[in-house]
Amino acid sequence: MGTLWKIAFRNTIRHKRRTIITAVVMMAGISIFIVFDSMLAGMDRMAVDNMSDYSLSSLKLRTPAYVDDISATPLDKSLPDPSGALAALAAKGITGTPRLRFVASVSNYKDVFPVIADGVDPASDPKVFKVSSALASGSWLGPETPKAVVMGAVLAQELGLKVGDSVLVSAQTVDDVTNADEYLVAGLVQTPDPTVNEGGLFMAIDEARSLLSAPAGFATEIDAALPRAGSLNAAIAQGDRTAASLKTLLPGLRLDPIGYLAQGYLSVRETKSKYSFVLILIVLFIAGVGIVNTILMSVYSRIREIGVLRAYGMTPREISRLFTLEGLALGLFGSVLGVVLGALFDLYMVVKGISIEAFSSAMGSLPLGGVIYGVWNPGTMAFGFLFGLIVALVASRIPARQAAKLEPTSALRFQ
Amino acid sequence: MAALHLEKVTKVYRKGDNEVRALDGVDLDIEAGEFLTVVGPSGSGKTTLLNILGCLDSPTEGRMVYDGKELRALGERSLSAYRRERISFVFQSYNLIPVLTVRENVELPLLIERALADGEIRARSSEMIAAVGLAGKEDRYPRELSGGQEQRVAIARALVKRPLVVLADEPSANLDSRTAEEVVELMRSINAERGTTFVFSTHDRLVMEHARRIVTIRDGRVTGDERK
Repeated sequence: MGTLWKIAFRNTIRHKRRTIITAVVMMAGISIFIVFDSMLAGMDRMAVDNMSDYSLSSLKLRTPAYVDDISATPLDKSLPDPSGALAALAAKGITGTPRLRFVASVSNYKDVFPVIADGVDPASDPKVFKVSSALASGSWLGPETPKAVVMGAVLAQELGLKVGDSVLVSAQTVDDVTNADEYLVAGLVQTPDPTVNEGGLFMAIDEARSLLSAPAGFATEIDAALPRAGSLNAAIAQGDRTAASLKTLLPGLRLDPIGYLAQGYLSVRETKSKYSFVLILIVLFIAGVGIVNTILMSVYSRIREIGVLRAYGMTPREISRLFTLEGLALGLFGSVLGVVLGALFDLYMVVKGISIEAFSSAMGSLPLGGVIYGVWNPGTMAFGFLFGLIVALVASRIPARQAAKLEPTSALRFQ
Repeated sequence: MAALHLEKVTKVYRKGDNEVRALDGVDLDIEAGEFLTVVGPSGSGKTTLLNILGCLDSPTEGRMVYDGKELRALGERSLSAYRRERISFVFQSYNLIPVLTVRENVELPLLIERALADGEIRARSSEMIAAVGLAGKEDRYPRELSGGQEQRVAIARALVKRPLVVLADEPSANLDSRTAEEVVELMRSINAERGTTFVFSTHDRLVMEHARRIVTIRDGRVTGDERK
C-alpha cells in the first residue's frame, strides 16, 4: 500500500496544472458550503434572537383558550392571575413582564390603519424586550409622557406621523364596546424585526387597560427573558427545558418557549439547510466530473506504465487501487484546502460579521438587519471534508476500473 | 526437465471473422542459465512467444511447464502471482516509473511481491544498482538519466527479485550502438556470473552475436534452433 500511495501521491504532484484545477474546484465547493452554512446559521440565530428581543420573547405565558383563538386576540381569554404568574417566575429567578395585546385602529385623522397594539409595562418591558432601545427618534414610554404611544417607524411614515404628533387609537373594550382616545406620539422605533416597524404600536399597560375598560392588573400574556444561550439549538433547548420545569408551578397556563413561538421561521430553516446541501452537491458534482476527467487523463497517459506494473505481477485490483488512491489524494488536497479556506472565511464572519444593511429591503419580512455573524461549526467542516473525500473516491472509481481492465499485452504495446 | 518447457503451443487471435495463427505448434525447451535470442521477421510471432513465455498471455492450445509446474491451467490471478515471483522483463522503451527514483524503480518488483523485509529489499536493490554501474545515482529520477542509464535501471529492476527468466523485448533498439553494446555486455556478464536465464527477441546483430542459442521463428513456427 505504501508504494501505491507513493506513486499516486507523486503523480498528483507531477501533473500540477490538472491537480490544481481539480483541487480548486473542490476547494471552492467545500469552502462555499462552509461559509454558506455558517451564514445561514448566523441568520437563523439573528432572526430568532431578534424575534425574542423585539416581538416574541423567549417564553410566553398565556391561557390555552387564548392560544386556541389567537387570531382573534380575544380579551375575554386573558390571564387569570398575571401578578401570581410573575411572582412564580421571579421565584425561579426569571424576569417577566405583562403585556396586553389588542386589536386596534390607529388614525392620523385622515387615514386609518389596523394594528395589533401592545400595552406594556414601561419599567419591566425593557428587561425582556429591546424595543425601547431601538428608538429612531423621541423617547420610550414613562410617567413623564402620559397618554403617549411609541410606533414602528414604517407605520408612522405610512401615516405621515412624527414625534410630537397626535394619533387617534380606537379598539373594542372588554365589554365589546368601541372606545377611542387621542395619544401623543412619544417615539418611533426602528428594529431589526420588520413586523414591529410596520405594525408596532406600544402604550403603557395602564393606558391600554383604561382604553379597553379592563380592570387593574389585566394582561393577556406574560413574556419572560432567558439568559442568552451559546447557540440557536441551545437557546431552543433552554426554552423547552424552562417551560417544562415551570409547568407544575403554573397550572392552567400554556408556556410556549421560543422553539414553539418561532416554529414558522424554524421550519423554513430546514428548507434552507436542504438548499445549502443541494448547493454543495452541485459544486462537488462538478468537482467529481473534474476528478473523473483528471484520473482518466492520468490513466491514458500512463497505459504503458500500467502494462509494466501488470507485467511485474500487480493484480487488476491493485491497479484499480492505485488510481483510486490518486483520486483520493486529489480529494484530500481539495478537501483540506476547502476546509482551510472555508474556516478562514468563517473565522472572519464569526469575529467581524457581515453587514446586511444594504440588503435590508431584500430581506422582506425576515427579522434580520445590522451585522450578521457567522456560526463556527466544526461539524459542518468535518462533513465538508468527508464529503469531498467521498466524492473523490466515487469519482475515481470509474477511471480506476478502466485501468484495471487493461490487458498487460495491449497496455505494453500502447504507443 | 528444462526450466521452461513449451509443448505444441498455439496462439490464435480472432479479428472479426478472420483468424490469425500467431504461434502454431511451438515446441521449445529453455534450460536454466541460457542466453537465448528469438529472431525472425516482423509479424513472425516473436512478441507473442515472449508474451506467452512471460505469462502475459495464455496459449490457445498446448502445454507450458515452468520449473516443473504446469501453467496451462492457471487463471489470471495465478499467472499474475507467477509473474510476480518468477519472471522479469526488460522493455525496448525501458518503461521506468517516472515518479519513482532509481532505487524505488529497482525495488518496485520486490515491493509488489511483498516477500522480503525492508532491510533485505534495500540490500538487494543496492547490490543490483551497483552491479549495473549506477551506484551513487540511487536518488535520481528517470528524467535525469541517459537512455543507456535508464536501460541499466530496467535491467537492475528485472534482476532484483532473482527471477527464473528475464524476457527482453528488443532491449537495444532505442540505444546507440556503443550504449547498446555496453548494455548487452552487462546482461551477458550477469548471465555468466549469476546464471540468470535471458530470452531476447531482437533484430539487432550485436545481440545475436552475444547469444549462445538463436531460435528462429517464421509464421508462428520454430524454423531454426542454433546453439553456439
